[in-house]
Amino acid sequence: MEFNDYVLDIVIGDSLVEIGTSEFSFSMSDSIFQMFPSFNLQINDVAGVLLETLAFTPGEKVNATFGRVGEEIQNRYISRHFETSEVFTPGTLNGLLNINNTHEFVYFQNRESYAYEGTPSDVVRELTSDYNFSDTRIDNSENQHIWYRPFYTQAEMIEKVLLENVYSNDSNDTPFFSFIDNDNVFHFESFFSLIERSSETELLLIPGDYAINERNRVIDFKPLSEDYNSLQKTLIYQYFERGVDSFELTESEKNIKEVYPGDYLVSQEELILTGTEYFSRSNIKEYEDNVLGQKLFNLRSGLLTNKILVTIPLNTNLVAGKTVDLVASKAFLENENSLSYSGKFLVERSQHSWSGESQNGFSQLLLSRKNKTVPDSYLIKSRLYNP
Amino acid sequence: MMEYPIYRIAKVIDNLDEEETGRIKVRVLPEMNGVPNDDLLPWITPDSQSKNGTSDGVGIHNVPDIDSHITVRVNDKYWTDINYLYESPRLSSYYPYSSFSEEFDIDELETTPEYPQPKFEKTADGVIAFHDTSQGILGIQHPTGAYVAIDEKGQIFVKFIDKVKMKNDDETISLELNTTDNKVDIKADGGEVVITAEDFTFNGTNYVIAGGGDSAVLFTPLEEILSALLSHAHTAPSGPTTPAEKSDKSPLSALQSKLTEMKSASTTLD
Repeated sequence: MEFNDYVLDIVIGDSLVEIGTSEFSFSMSDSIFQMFPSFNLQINDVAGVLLETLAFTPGEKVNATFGRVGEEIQNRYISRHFETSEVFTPGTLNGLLNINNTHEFVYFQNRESYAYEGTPSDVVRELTSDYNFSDTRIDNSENQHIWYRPFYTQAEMIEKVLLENVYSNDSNDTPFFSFIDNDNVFHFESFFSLIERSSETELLLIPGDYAINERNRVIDFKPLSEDYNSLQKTLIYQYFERGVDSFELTESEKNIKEVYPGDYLVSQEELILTGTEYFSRSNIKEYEDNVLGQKLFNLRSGLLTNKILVTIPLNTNLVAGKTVDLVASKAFLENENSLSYSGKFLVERSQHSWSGESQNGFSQLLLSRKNKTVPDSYLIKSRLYNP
Repeated sequence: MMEYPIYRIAKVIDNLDEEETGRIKVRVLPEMNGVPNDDLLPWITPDSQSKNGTSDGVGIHNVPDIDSHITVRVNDKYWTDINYLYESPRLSSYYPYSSFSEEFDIDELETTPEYPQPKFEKTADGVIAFHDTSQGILGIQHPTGAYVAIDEKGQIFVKFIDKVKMKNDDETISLELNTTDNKVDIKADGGEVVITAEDFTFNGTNYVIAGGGDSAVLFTPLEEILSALLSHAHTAPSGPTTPAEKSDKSPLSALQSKLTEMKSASTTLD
């Protein structure tokens, strides 16, 4: 249905949800760190009719179309969880219904035993070929060899194996991200590919009132940072080629410590002494690429340290993986922009919401980038990736 | 999330490692059941090839047989690092001790190992290598019935089927026991065979003495004795009468001729 400047279509099973625009709210969410986008729907079922007529069964298909007219995005989901969170009139079926949904690709997951020969990108293409995404963006990669799928689902295979090993000469030594965005586009791209893409729009943080049709006007601006714990990963276990008589760390071992930002160091005792001939495979190109890929994968948490949570009037063009130019003015100095918070940002997460209460749509975006202004006193500055 | 490393059973698909480093190609079960062809299966290294605690050239070579089932350890969730563990070859669904007690057959052993002894390895070809570590009894038994065993007293028992042979590098010295023609052959080219004993007993129907020349030691003293007898002139008063001398000389000459003939060629004494 169209309402004012918006398109709002929700289909549960085969039934179009036809209720007043003030009786429901929802949000479509995606993230570059998360494979499956989600769709959370809240309905004021005043008469209890929807509860009676719609099948809120886990696994039910849910289609959502949302956006300004001509810009709407559409995605398909599977109902994951349903509950009546509030009862309006005791003794009746009415109440506040919460329906949580996950992208439909989750329904197409299979646990299979198989082996693929090719690069991670080749395998990703094969794993996603059976599903009808609106588009796929898959960067080419190196490390061509045989990849085993020991009863992993397609998503597990991508996230646990391929994403953690992928390495590309074209990625400018940046890690890969794999996710489905709110517009049903599948991504398997390096950070370099994402951030090098031209900005979708310019977002303005300026003082004063705003109008709901000012689509590039930042309504809410909240800088934040990740918990430092999330930057500190686990111990790095790495096989090194060392003779039995050598107890000194080699230069390459020392380098490994340096390139993992925030990670705990590997102590000498945890290194495994091995004969060179049996781990000579680490000299084989594809395994070298794997090691490089694993190093880069561990950089992901520490890569995006400059984060801002912004809210803007609905702009469904801005989904995870897109870039924007943020212009943040200093409120106390007219016509002068903030150096710390202006510039090109990656949309790390997007959440496009319809508010039944205000009868308006909003987009909440987590904008992220590498921190350009790390002070010298910052404890892990020397180990931050390319500050 | 499964914690790695994990242990699995794997079927050996190939063991002919071109690099001769003990690698084998396996199908890990059940995770690789669906791998569409054997070319995609991994070559994995033996676990005990680590040099940790050992030195160069020391270790075990025990490449599992094709189609046998072994235990493997998958070290990483990417399934790029897999080792196989050394152990007795698995015999599908049955423990081999009962077959050992049925097939173990070395009569000479005064003490038979009792469960849980001996430690043994029985391979698919039926060979049993055993070691009773409580008594110091060890050996190898072959499916043909042949065996080599050392008992707790240090006695060595050998049973062979057709032949047993000991030899040096160029086989100039050898000892061969051959049941095909019931022959014991002792050879010492250019050397000698010395048997030292107080009494010698030869029990046989036919005796063969081979070889020629003056080195045939048996003939030399006999020939000398005969020559002495034939040249006897009866000069001493105690000698025999002339007619008697004439009558004895003919058979002795014949015997001498026979011995001369035997020296030049192998001859059978009837």
